[in-house]
Amino acid sequence: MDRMKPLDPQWAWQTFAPSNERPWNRALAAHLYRRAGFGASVEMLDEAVSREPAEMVRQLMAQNFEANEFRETADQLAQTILASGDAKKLSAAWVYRLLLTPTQLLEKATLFWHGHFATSAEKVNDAHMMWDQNRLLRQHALGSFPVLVQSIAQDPAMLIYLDSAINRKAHPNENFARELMELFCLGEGNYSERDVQELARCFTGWEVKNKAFRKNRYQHDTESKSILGSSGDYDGEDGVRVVLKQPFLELFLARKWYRFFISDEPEPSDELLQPLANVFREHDLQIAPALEMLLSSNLFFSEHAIGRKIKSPVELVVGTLRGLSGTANTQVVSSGLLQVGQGLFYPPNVKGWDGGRAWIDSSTLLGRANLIGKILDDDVTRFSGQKLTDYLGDRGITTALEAIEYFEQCLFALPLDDSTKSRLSDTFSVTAAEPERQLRSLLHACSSLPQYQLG
Amino acid sequence: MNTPRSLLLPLRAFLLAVVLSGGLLRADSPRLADCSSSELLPQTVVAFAEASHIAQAIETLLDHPLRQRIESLPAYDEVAKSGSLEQFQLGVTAFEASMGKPWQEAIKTLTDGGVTVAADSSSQGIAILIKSSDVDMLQRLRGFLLALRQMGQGKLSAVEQGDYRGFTAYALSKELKLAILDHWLLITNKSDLGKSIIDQYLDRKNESLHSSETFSIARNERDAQASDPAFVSAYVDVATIRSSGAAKALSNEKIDNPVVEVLLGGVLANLRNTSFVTAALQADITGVQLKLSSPHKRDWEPPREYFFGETQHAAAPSLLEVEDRLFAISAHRDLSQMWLRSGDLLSDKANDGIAKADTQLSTFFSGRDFGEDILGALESDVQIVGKAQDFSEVLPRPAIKLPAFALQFQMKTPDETTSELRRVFQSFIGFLNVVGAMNGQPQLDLGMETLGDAKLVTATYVPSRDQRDSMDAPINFNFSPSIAFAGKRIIFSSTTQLARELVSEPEVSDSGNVVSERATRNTDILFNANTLKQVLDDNQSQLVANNMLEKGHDKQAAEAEIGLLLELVGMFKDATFQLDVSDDELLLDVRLHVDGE
Repeated sequence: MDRMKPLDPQWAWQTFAPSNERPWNRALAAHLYRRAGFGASVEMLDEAVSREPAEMVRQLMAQNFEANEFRETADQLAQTILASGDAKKLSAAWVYRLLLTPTQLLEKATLFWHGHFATSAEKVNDAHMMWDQNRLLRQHALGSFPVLVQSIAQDPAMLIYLDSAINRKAHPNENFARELMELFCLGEGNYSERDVQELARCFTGWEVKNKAFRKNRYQHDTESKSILGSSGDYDGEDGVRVVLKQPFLELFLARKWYRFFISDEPEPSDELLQPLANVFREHDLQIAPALEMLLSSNLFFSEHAIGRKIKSPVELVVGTLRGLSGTANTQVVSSGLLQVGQGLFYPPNVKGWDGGRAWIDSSTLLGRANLIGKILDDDVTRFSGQKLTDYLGDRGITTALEAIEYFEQCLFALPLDDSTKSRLSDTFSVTAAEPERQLRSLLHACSSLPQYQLG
Repeated sequence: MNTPRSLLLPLRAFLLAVVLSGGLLRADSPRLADCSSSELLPQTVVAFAEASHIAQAIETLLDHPLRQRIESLPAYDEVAKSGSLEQFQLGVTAFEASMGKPWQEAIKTLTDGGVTVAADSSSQGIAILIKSSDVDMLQRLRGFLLALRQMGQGKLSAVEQGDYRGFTAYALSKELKLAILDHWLLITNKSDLGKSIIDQYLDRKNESLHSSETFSIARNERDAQASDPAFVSAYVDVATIRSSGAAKALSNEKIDNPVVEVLLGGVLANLRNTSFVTAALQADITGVQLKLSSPHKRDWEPPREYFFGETQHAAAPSLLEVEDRLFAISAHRDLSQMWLRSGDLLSDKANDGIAKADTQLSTFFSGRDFGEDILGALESDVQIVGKAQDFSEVLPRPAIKLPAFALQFQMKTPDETTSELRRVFQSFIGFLNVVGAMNGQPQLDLGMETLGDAKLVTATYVPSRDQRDSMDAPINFNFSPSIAFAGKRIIFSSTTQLARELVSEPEVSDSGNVVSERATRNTDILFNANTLKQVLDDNQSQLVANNMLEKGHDKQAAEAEIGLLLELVGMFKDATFQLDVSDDELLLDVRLHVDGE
């Protein structure tokens, strides 16, 4: 992957201050909502513009837990699905949360950790365990990384997914130990095979009985272990603590956040990421301070970030709906996401989703357009509880061109050129028969544009 | 009715159109004396429906206590406020203005001679005939309909028209034509059919539907049966439809779906042979009743003796009675015969499935032939019942609360069958436990009970330690599969509680009046809407959650929608479906009772 031209790290991580050259406007507010969440209506963008950007980021960061009422409702939905025992439908309950949560950053961070600590229901085959893991990720999504890692190390779904449930002292299973260092905390090249073997011994005896985590002391290796330069009679918790102390950890996480929140490519230099990594470590590996710095930065609000990511299927679909205050059949959305490569609770492997250009190929591009088309074809799909015609009509939009310009503000990361707008507005006539169908087709056509795939 | 200011402009334009249309379209003078609609229609009519007493039906609807309940629903208010009714109100106001009287009175006068709808096989056309004592009102209606057409076109243009034997036909649309024949208003989509009706009206020479032998028999049978005048009576010439190839399903001797075969195989067999079907729809304050009747002959029954009875028509047993009954089905069906003769009854595809199932079931029943030995051990009385379950005192309580259901049969030789089926049931529970253990499902604990003379074998799901007091336990906890033996009766029940309740009921032996009333009853189905509402109420939170997931509604909107659904269900009392078969008639009686209180 290409390395980016050197940027001044000091400038990059300074808090963004609007200026005449780079004013705080709907476009920047929409960028913030797209990255720190999934999207926002024009009304929400106007509300955001009436505040300072740093204040908006602080507000998003402050929403690091769900209001009781929403949590109860969303959990009730999950319980409904769990009661029927259909694990395939569980992701519909998460889609509902993604579409309607008032705490967008919390949900976006939960999605990030789901890809980071990737666990698939395909192998776990237990909806309750998957849901419990999802709640765990949400609980710590913006909290303490050490607590999150310790919790995930004892999470039944993770133990089953990485075969730790059969980790015996006679035959230590190295899967979880390896991924803990390679994928979760340190990255490739920052540990040795010997470290993997020794760390695996720490987790011996950790197993799942009756769907719950438990330590089987008869199967635990109590001998001394030597991991990453430290030695002792470590158990699993001690092993995790040793890994968390490693200096490569903060840079590894900073790089992952950069790719998720700022830009797919080019690859950032260590020098550029170091200030972000430092803040993470200085705050005892608390996640929120690092993300606040990232989301408030000059770099985040610069041309190095805006439109520099390819929308994931979740960002594409949920963003389209949230941008227009839309609601839809969540089961249609969740099954559609699975078909286009981002099934919630169904990451492809332990590395999670590759993201970036991997989201797009000739098949998935068509699949993405078809999924949006299917959702828009469904009469259940509503916009603030209304037809799209009425929703846009209430905002004074009566022509195809006005509708395109409205979509441009709340749905597109980059402005559309005049020829594209003109081509689209010539093709769709809102005043023709079936204006609702025409408007939905126009929205579908907009969402199928190459520009729309950029977030 | 109040006329909103916003409606006045279009209304004025509409009235102008009525005046213009009326000016163009004066009626011809009366020609012939009174006649019935069947006398005007050709013999080639294959479906005929006649509605009389329309005014009475409207009165029943308007005065019905349910109307008040519907209008008091918040959803009704919302629809009224949303403006969705505006167009309807405009239509009613325009209709009243055209007719010069309130719409109820206008309809009463317009339809006092009845309304007929007929489908003709020769012309492939449909005709509507409205007979009124007031010719002026018919002409006003014609003006209204033509004005409506002009409104639809958005311009006041001359109406396309043509004359046929002194009557003028006006184009309501590209297809539909309208003409007034003195006291009759005729609308049809085929000119040939319209002409034939006018010819018949003027000449009375051709044979009419009225003179058709089949129609006469059907009408006489209908008149003989009718205790009260029907709101709608209908006749369908099944023989002609069948011979035309229009209804392919009726020409297939074998069907694909075994469940449809069990439920309706005999009815379909009848439709493959009968010449006609008559229908009568009645409505009053308690609900609606639809009676479908068809001639029947025993010769038409083979190879479906399993449905009707082998040597003579057999009757269904009584419906099972339990507390909080949701549904009950009783029927005469010789399931053993049906299974063994499936090759004659079902399509090749369905038969393949039956053959596979037969092999597997025979293995499961220790090598005994499933059709001959297992089903053959049971009499042909099939009784099924479902009831709402009460979980108020039960833990663990399932999150989704399903009704319990049970099947009751009579054993031919209880001494032999009891031990055989008890052993099979125990094996079945063992099998469920092995499969369940592999999938992490709770295990079933076998038990035995004696209740009077009855013996029960029960199986109860054992909750894990943390599930014992659960209020949202898995769906499994709706079930405690049980088998009960009481005298000749054998009961397969989804719950032990229902099995206990059924064995506690005395064995019913139909006798005396009961027998004579039910002597021809082949199938009896009852569905209780009050219990359905209770089941839905118990699962309200689940229904709300499903609504939120499927429609993306927020909680409030989902609760409102489910609340409306429950209100609507609460307006019904029950529905019944009864099939009676005698040597010369097959009668289907469907009733829907509403809760008028």
